[in-house]
Order: sequence, then structure tokens, then C-alpha cells
Amino acid sequence: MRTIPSSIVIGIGKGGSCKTTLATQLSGIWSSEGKRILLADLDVQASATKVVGLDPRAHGDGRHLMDAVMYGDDLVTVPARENLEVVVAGRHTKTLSHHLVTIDNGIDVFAYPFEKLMASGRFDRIVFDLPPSGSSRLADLAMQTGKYLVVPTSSGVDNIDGLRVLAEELETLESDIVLLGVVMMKILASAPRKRVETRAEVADVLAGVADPFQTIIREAGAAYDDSRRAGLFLHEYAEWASTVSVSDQISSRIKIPANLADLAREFYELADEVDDRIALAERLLAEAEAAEAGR
Amino acid sequence: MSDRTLGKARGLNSIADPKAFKGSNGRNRLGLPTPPPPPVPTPRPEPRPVRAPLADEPRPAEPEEIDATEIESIEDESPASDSSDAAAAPETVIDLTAPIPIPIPIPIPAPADLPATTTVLPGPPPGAVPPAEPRALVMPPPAAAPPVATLVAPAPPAPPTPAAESSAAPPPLAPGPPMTEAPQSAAPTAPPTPAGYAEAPGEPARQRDDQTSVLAAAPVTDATWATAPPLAPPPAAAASHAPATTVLPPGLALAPATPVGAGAPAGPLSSPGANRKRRELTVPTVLAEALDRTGINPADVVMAGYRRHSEAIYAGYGGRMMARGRTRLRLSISDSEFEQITQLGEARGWNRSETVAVILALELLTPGTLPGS
Repeated sequence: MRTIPSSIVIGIGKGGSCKTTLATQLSGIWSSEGKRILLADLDVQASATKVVGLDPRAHGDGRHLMDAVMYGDDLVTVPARENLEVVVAGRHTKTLSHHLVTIDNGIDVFAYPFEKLMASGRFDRIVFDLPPSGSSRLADLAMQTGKYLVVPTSSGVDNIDGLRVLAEELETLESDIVLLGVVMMKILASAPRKRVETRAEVADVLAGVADPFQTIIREAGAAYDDSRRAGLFLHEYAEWASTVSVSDQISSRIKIPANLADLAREFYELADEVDDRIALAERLLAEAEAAEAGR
Repeated sequence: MSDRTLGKARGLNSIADPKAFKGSNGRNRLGLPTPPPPPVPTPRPEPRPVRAPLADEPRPAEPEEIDATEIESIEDESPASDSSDAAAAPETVIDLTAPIPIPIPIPIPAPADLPATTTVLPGPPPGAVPPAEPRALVMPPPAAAPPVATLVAPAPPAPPTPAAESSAAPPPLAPGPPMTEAPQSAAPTAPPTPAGYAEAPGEPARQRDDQTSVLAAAPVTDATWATAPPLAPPPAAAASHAPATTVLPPGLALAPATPVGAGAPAGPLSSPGANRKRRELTVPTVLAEALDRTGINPADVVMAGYRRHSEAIYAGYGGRMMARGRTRLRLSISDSEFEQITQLGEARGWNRSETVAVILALELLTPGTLPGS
């Protein structure tokens, strides 16, 4: 199976499972730490593109990826921050998805522009933000060509069932992707029992293949909404908020969510945890490869 | 609910477990059959352009495609058998007038948003490059393509300065003003958009219109400038305590500033107590009841006690109470006052609640009832 080097696929599963939130926040934190990140938005809704502050219509509306895959053009990326560039999605992403359904060599055609970018040495990582499962051929292809998989989920029966659907999809796609773990998202910080129950349910579905991430991202609707409205990452928003004095908040009638700093800290911790698991997976894969070569 | 788990998936914990990687395709996925990526990517397969089938255009023969004329001939040749089959098993009747349920391949209608020039005539020879004319206009290939490594686009400037779209192989730009000048000079004066989107001077006309604008603005396809959203304001602006200098991130500008309270002084710092925060501590119930009996604001009692007894406490006077039952105590005090209490507690190894309890005890309870007194 063809694998795009250093690629991390975020998501697979039902809509509203925080795939875009996780992909964008991790990309933002990693890029702020100096890693050169390419965030590939594969969702026709272009949510990730909007979260980083770009207008899809002003940047091709998904045409860049379509041209690269369908016509062999060089993949055009749009800088969004220092060390962070974006493959913009949009309405043309749907056209591309339809096109990829009709061809047999979709994996090769899809992977080639990204492999070419990675071979050029411009990026350290590619982060794929997927559309909901089953809605696009692009999601399947990213699953088949990605190297690592991080799955976000929330609490509730529907979300846990979504993880079970993931098991079926992984088997159907015969993907070699390595599941790094499952991130529990948007669970109330004040509900410890819920956290314990959700973690147990997720661990049950994982069946020992991987572990749930230790970091649980809390529910903080206002913080998500405000940062998104401002076109800022959560850690950027929190950094800005820390510079605003209480008096300025009062006089300017700014309402900064009380849990913003904690939320940003959790994403920092999660990014570190994903980093650690990637390093562990790299080491284990290298050892397995060496053992295989020695036989 | 399904009881399926991810037991067959390839996960971080099962990389070294050979049993876990007998995939459904029968090959051992632990063997890492995926070779390391070659330094130079393999040539991509021939692109398959999307086109709209023309009305009078003969459709190229596709092995999987069902030919309508063939269906009609079958119907003409064996009408009797069809009718007999229908009589024997009516549920198997195939309505030939109905649309074919799954046509393979699925003909893709021409998207309205694609340039008309992307329509490709039938029968492109193998290896043929897709439509040369419009492609050349959008992304003219360089005459002598330098190696990929040397084609890295200029490093994008850090936000909020404008940044350029880039690709692995940027084509030569159309003649015109240098692209490094216009966006950078325009950036400082460009106000942030309300929605928080980065505007790309020059490119929106290409993107918001359709095909014609694509061709018209083609030379800037790879050199489009994006203005990243402004990040955190300079710390000096936020630290000045002047409301007029507060810089909000885009989209967060709320209603205009209004004075806090009627007849409020000019600035919050000039009004005593404006920086008060509500702190919640727990103190022994006996102290809370004594405090309640005073009828005085608890913060005033605590700070009065602090001023009166802090030196003695620093010197080692007083100690923590042994008391059953605790009651929450809400204090509305400023940061500096709270910091004073914190430092006093740290000097004795107490937390804030314990420190406040000692102060209150010294202030409210009769001498001789405290340890160390």
C-alpha cells in the first residue's frame, strides 16, 4: 500500500466529532513550535480553511487540489501562519471526489502531489482533515495512504458506535495506517464520572490495539466559537487574552471565557502526547522493519 | 449495537505483534511491505480529465457500460421469454424503460464552475497532456524547469504581514509590478475583515468570478498574497489600561465601551476597588458565625485583621485552628490585598484559607483561645 510519509490523518467517523477542531489546533501548535506543517483540508465545507482564517473563495475554492490530482499540476499551498500552509478546500473538492470515484488508480493519483511535496523537503508533517466517513472518496483515500491515524470522539452512544464503524472501515479499506489513539473531545471538566466511563468505553472498542490519549479536551463552547470567529487558534486566542487586563475587559466589554486558558493548555498537552506517540511508532516500525530484514 | 472492536486494526500497541497484522487481504502487514518513499516520486499516471459528454459526440466504448441499443435488441428478440418470466416470477421483471440503476462508469456532468476550456475532446492519445491552452494560461510551464529543491517559494512572512501562495514549482509570473511590493505596502492600511478571513489583494476577483476571471488573473495564480489574521496585539497596548488602546482580535469587537456605573471616574484604576475580585475560601464555621455577627463586610474585617496582626503572624504568633465544620467565605478583595495574604501564608506554610482563618481568629475571637497565644 502506498503511504504518504509523515502524514497524520485526523478523523474518520461521524460528523461533529471534532475532527476539524483537532486537526487545526494540532497544526497550529506544531507550527508555532517550529515544525513545518501542511494542513490538507479535504472537506468540501472547508471548515479547516476557515478556522485558520482563510476565505476558501479567495484561494481557489478547492481548485488547487483538484488541479494537482486531476491534471498533474504542482499542488498550490496557501500560507496561513509562519510554518503553516494550507491546502484549501471548497466546492471544487466535491468535483474532485466525484472524479476519484470513477477511476481505478485513485490511490496513486491522490498520493502523488503530497509525496512530491514531502520529497521537496518543504514540510515536516502533513495533517489531513477528513470529511465525515462515507461522504467523500477523499476520506477513504487519505485513510489508505496516510501513515498515522488519530481519531477524535466525544461521549455518548452515537460516538462510541462511530468508533465501531471505524473498525469496519479500516478492515474494508485494508489500510496500513497506524492508529495512534483516540482523543476524547468536548467532555465536561466537571463530569469526572463521565470521563471515566467514556475512557472505559473507548478502551473497550480499541481492544488493546492502542490506548485512549490521556489528555481529555474539555467542553468549552464559547471559547471554540470566539476563537473561530476571530480566525485564531485557541492558543493564540489564549495568548492574546492573557495580555488584556481586567480593566480593559470591563471597559471594552470583552468577555473572555474563563476556561480558555485551561482549554489551550489541554491542546498543548495533547500535541505533546501525539508527538510522543509518533516518536514511539517510528521507533517500533523501524525495529519491526529491521527484524523483518534480519529473517 | 455492534460489538465490533478495533482488534484487527494496526495500532500503536500492536505494531510488534505479528498476529495482529494478518489482514483480510491475506498478507502480513507487520512485514511492512510498504517500501520507504523514493527520493524522487514516481511519475503520476495519466490524468483523466473530466469532461462533459457532448450531445452529438460518439461516446467511446467502455467495457462496463451498458449500451442502450443492446438492451433494446434483447427486448425485441425475446419478448415471449420476458413475458413468461414475468408471469412466473413477477418480482424479477426488469423495467427497461426505467433508468439503469448503476451505470458504470458514472458519467460526470460538466460542473458549472469548471472553465469551459477544460472540456476535452474524445479520444486523447495515451500520454497526451490535458488541454494545453487553458492550462498554459493558468500555469505556464517554465522553459527550463530547475530542480524541485531550488524551486521552493520564498519563505512566507510571519503574520500579519502578507504571505504568498506557493507551490513546489512556481511558474514565472506575468510582467507587472514586483509582487513583493504592492501587497506589503498595502498591508498596513488594510483593515481586518469582520469575519476574520484573510483577504488576498488581487486574487478575489479571480476566485469570486468564474472561468473568465480565472483566465484574466491567471498570472497571479501562484503568487497570490494572503493577509493572515492579526495575532495578539502588542503587550504595550493591553498594558496601558487605556480603553482606547485596546486592540481586539478580528471578530471580537463588541459594543462600544461604556463607563462602568453611572458617574464612574475616568479610569478603572482611579476608582478604588475597581480591581476587586471575588475570592472564595473556606474558614471554620465558628469564625464564619463570628464574622457574621459583626455585620461588617468580611473583606474589611480580614484586611483590618491583616494590618493589625500581620507583623505578629510573621514573627510566629498565632496558629491554625482545629475546628469541625467549615463554611465558605466570599471575599471581594483586590489582587494586591490577596497577594499580601498569600505571602503571609507562605511565610508560615499555610494556604490562603488557613491564613485568613488565623487572621479572623486573631481579630474576632477572644485572646487565649488560640494556639500559641
